Amino acid sequence: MSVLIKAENVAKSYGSTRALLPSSFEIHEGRILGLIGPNGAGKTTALKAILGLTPFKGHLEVLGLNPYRQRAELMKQVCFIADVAILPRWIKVRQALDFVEDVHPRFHRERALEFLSRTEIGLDKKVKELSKGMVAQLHLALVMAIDARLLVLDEPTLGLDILYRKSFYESLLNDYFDQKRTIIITTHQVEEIENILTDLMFINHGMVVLNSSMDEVAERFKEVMVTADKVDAAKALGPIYQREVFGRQLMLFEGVAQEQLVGLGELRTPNVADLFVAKMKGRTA
Amino acid sequence: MKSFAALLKREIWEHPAFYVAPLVVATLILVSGIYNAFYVVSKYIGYERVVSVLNTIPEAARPVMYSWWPLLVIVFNLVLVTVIVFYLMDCLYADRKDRSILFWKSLPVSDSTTVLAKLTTALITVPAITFVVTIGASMVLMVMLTLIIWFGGGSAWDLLWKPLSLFDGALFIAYSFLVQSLWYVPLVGWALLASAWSRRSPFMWTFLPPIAVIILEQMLFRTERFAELLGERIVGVIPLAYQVNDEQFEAMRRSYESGNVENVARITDVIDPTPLLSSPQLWAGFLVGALFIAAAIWLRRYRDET
Repeated sequence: MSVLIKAENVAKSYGSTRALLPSSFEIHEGRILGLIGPNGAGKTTALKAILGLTPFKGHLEVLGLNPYRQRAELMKQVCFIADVAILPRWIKVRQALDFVEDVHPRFHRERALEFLSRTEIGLDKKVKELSKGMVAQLHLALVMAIDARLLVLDEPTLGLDILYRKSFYESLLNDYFDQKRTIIITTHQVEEIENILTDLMFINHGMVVLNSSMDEVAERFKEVMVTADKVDAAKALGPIYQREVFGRQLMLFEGVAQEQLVGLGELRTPNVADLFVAKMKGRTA
Repeated sequence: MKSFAALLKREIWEHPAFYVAPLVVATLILVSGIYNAFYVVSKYIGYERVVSVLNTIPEAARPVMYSWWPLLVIVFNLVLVTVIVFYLMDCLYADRKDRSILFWKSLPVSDSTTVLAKLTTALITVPAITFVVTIGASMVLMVMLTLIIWFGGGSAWDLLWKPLSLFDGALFIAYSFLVQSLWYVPLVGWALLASAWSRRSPFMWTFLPPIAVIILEQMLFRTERFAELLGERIVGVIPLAYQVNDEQFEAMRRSYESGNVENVARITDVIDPTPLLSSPQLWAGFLVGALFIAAAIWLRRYRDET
């Protein structure tokens, strides 16, 4: 599997604020990566560096290109939705389709029309006449109709109702994703995407605190519903996080062998949200 | 090429004022024309009297007497310049303000292409649209005059279409808009830079710096060089691009006196681009304009404010 994004000591400061501390990571082709972090953690900064929207320190290669120097070239193979859907308010839906078709060699109009046909969006409507959710739908329809090697979605479903969010992630997985494509998603609704992710990256205070595949996560992290008499024994193994649920201790362990945990209580793989809280609190505690 | 055309089209979609503004002015002219022609003339003057007055103008003098082209150029040029000034202030600013720049930047279009498309819009697209509307409006006016002449029993060909050459008029207007675009390259470049630079109020960034320079120069050196330079840049193209020489004037006078219709002056006689093309001011203007445009591209490309 080839390396799609290669970052070596990539860092970014805004004045005296250090948005991203020197970070090194690799993102491989054919993965769906969830980029998770609290507000202001540096997610958007990292994405902007990858998309060539901001200068940075260090070495960064995306599809073999320097994103900051070669943005236009990069955008032939990369698509993104930055933050909330922000399409120009004056443009008509039909004009948006025409425009993207003319400037993007990998855009498939019929695919965009197909996505739009599942919505209430009329082709002669202007963006300013659409609801916020419809604008997001339109933006997604435009982006999903582009054969990109890398798709970056920064909070793509903000403002959309749950029905559309579900069908969006389904079609992202079924119609769009294949082994040649890579998707990076950030969202606050982790639980909605965790079953489609293949990789997970946590960012906090400008640092990458976790970067591994979901398989490795399942391997490395275990959650144990500790039975009352085993609490002390469990604590001795050094849980990274613990909380009380209905009077029982729920402990999260990192890198502890399964055999050591089996006797302590009910064992399971933590969900991403719990893992996230554990990792974030663990840092600050 | 296809994407450059799409970028030009997109500017027209975003700014309907390109055609709405000249169309509104044309409509005003035509409505007042219709009112005068078919109400005032028919009620108070009479079509026959209009034709008889027209007939008193010697044939050789008609082409000059009728030449309304400079007048049309002045009126529509005012509209053109206003539309372009507002367009330029907006064009590298509006999408940063509403953050849709992130959508434009997500497409494989380089920032230099984007800025050059906006430059082309100001220098070519808008003047071309205004040109079409101007010619269209004057054709409608000529049809109206034709009707008046017919109602008065005159020959519209002899009294109107033959002396007033639509082709010459179109040539004259196209030339006027073209030389203006060439001459205004540095001003357009400056406005693009101000638009790319402003975080708020591109209007102030466009107009205040030149005014500040004029005031500072006045205070520090008690001179007005910059004001003179700016004034020359605003109106200086006229003496360079149009020539009325004494010989032509004399020839016109002679043919008028002799009634010789063959050698009568045409509006296109004043077209002479040689002094303009050989003036150092034009080329210095290109150079300064190119610097401003390069700076605008650089800002568009490398400034991160999202």
